[in-house]
Amino acid sequence: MKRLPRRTLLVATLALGLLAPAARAEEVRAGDLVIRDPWAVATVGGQKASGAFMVIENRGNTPAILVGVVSPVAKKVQIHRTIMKDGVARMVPQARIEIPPKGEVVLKRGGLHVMLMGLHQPLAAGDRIPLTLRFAERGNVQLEVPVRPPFARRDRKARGD
Amino acid sequence: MRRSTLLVPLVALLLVLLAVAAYLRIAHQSEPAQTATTAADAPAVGGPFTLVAPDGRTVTERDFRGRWMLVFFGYTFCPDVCPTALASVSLTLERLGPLADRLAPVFISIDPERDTPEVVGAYVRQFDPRITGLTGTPEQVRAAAQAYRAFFRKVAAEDLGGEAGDDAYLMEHSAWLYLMDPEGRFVRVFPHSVDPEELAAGIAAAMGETLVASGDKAS
Ligand SMILES: [Cu+2]
Repeated sequence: MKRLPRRTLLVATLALGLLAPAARAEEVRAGDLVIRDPWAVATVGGQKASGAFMVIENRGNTPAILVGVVSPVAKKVQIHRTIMKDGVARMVPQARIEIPPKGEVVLKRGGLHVMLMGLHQPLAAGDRIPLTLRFAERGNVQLEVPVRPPFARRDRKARGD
Repeated sequence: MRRSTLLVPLVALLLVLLAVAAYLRIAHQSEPAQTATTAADAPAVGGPFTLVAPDGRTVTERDFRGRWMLVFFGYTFCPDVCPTALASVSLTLERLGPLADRLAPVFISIDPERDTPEVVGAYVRQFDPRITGLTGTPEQVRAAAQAYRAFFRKVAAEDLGGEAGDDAYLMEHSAWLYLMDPEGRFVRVFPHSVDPEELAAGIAAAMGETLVASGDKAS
């Protein structure tokens, strides 16, 4: 909550609230940052972890640095990069993600994701969960992220995962 | 004018050739050491295992005899690699149509500490009810992974910036899809990110069958 005007957050939150039920392609603007199509993976059967994906666009003239993510739904939230080496998959925590000026970083399977660990509650498809992206210099961006099943035949292609 | 009209198809052809060359290289590089082990003296991939099904039943490799098996090692805590592989398996089953009846996709958890039989069962059902989710005691899981030469390792929470004893640990694991024939013999692997069309074609080819064009598939 450093530099970002409170009003921007309020507007973003309001806009999300109004669009919530039907919106497919969601977009949250905060200053020169635009967060597009965020979604989190629904959990089943007492699963204690989940991931969230989105596109972060930086329309500014200086690099935007994502330094962390917080959410009340999980005990621990990290930014992970999935690395494949010699056929072995692992997730590596990232201290910071740089979004270049006039550029974007895509959080998607096979690359980066927000890792939600130690969930306090199950995440059901259709829910929305609060997620706060913490940027250096630019402050916080508040999101209400829709929860979807890990896999849906119909929109798999459209979602690109 | 004439020269430029010729140039376009030539450049296109060149690009296609380059893409094919690049693909072959990648496909070749991504083959694990296992594929080299078809030689008689090399250790075999696959073998006996004893694990636990979602309904609590004990399951061994003999329960799958007579069907092709597509085996994947993973864990439900994983939001990226495992869902990608299972989604691909699900689409592949659809693509295989009636041939899918001859295939048993099996997801084996390498995280039995968190993945109880119920958790694994509920997890794989989201992708396709035809996928069997298995787990077991740590010893059973270790033996199954060893049989498949699959690697896995726990990364403790404190190595991820958490507190010791925290249950937010991660697992590193082999991410191959192992295709086994109806006698339980290793045939080949596919990478977890394989395109379903390619996976279906690869399985059908191993079965000695040809897939009908995707437009008029039977399902
Ligand atoms: Cu992760």
